Amino acid sequence: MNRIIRSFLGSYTVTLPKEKAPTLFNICREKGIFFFSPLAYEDTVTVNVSLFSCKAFLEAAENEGIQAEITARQGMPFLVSRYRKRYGIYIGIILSAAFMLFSSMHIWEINITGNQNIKKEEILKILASHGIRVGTFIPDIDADLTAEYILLEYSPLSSLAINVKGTVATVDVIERVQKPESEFKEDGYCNLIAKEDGIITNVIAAEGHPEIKIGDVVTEGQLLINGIVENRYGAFKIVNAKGYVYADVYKNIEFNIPLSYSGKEYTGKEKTKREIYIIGFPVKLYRTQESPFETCDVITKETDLKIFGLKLPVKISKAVYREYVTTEYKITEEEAEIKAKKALSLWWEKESDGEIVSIDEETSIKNNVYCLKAHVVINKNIAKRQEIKFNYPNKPF
Amino acid sequence: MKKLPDTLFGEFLEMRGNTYLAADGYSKMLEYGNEKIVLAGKNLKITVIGKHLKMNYLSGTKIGIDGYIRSVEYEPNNT
Repeated sequence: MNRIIRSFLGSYTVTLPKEKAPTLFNICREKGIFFFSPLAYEDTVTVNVSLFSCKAFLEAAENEGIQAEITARQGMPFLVSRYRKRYGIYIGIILSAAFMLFSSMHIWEINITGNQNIKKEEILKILASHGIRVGTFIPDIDADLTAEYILLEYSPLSSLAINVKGTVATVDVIERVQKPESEFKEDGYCNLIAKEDGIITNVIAAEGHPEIKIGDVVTEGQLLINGIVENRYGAFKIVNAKGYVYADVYKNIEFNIPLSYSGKEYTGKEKTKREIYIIGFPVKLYRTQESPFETCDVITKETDLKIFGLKLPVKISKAVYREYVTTEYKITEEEAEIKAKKALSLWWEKESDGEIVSIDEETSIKNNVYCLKAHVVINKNIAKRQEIKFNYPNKPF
Repeated sequence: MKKLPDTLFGEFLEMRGNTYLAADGYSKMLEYGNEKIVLAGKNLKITVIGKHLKMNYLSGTKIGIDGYIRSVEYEPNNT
């Protein structure tokens, strides 16, 4: 510690004859002149003297007729003096201090905690729309008011707390638990209605009264199995209608495949441009930010700068421009047919409900477009549950 | 019987192994070097002999010496 203080305050190294050294030490002891680290050599002794006591030390030596001379200088004062005319150092120090002060009053990082279903990027976007982002001036932030505004506007959040500690804003969220869609209870009352148009091919009513028969044409929403059943005594009872109603459903689908189309062909030329964001403020590194190619794709990637694991408020955005030219592609009829059939099978995979009774395909070429029309008949269960709701206009209490 | 000089009054030496010596009660330094340091007390002269000897601190009547101390010799101070 003493060494650090002495280095900061500065000291002189004084050399004196070895045989005279004890005399001078005794005088310094009597007069209270401070010196340290005396080192003896063959003919000389060197001592270190502080800037404050050097004058007194040399005077004491002169009074005794001892030849003492300063042979070295060390410490911060001499270093500063050596570079005193380097004005760039002072400007750099001032700018650094100003930057430190400036950056310490802006948000460097935003941490989101508590989110499970809502993505961090979405919350950051919402915060940004209310003025909280990397680079925001901290004194301008009203955490409580901002949290209230966000909760009023964004319903998926139940609670939100913003805490700013230093230059880091921590946002704690609690997501709102959505009420699940009410599903029919097993003991609830419901009808079965048609979810699609079709021609009835089979009716299996396990519970309830079927209102349709095989061969009937039904439309979407039509009652299939009634949950209100009349018993043999003429009384009505309400049940949970259960069963299956199979019908042939007719679907017309069309796939159009152009025989010629424009596509991208990459030339192989690429250019990379970088942009630096310091505390959210962009620093332009190029004269123009325009794309270097006439037609190109841009892939942007942002990286946060870190030093020894500490995240700095500096972001480097790298944009890679890949040039392409628009090329006209042509395909044959056979190729178009393959594509259309593949689209049809993909559609069927997505539908995947029921059995195909028949498919009638019709192909044509019009205006350089291959068209595949398919008339598909699917046999499937078209019954869906509909809750029976009761209205009580004149409630007794 | 000749009375020996009173050696206990005035000078005080404390040693820590053979690498550190603290002397109290000496009045001045007579010699200073890497291998020999001579201190004069009221009644005694103390000679510290060793290698790489270095004065650690100096204040009032106290002095501290670091280094490899081989021997400490006493002789009456006739000055």
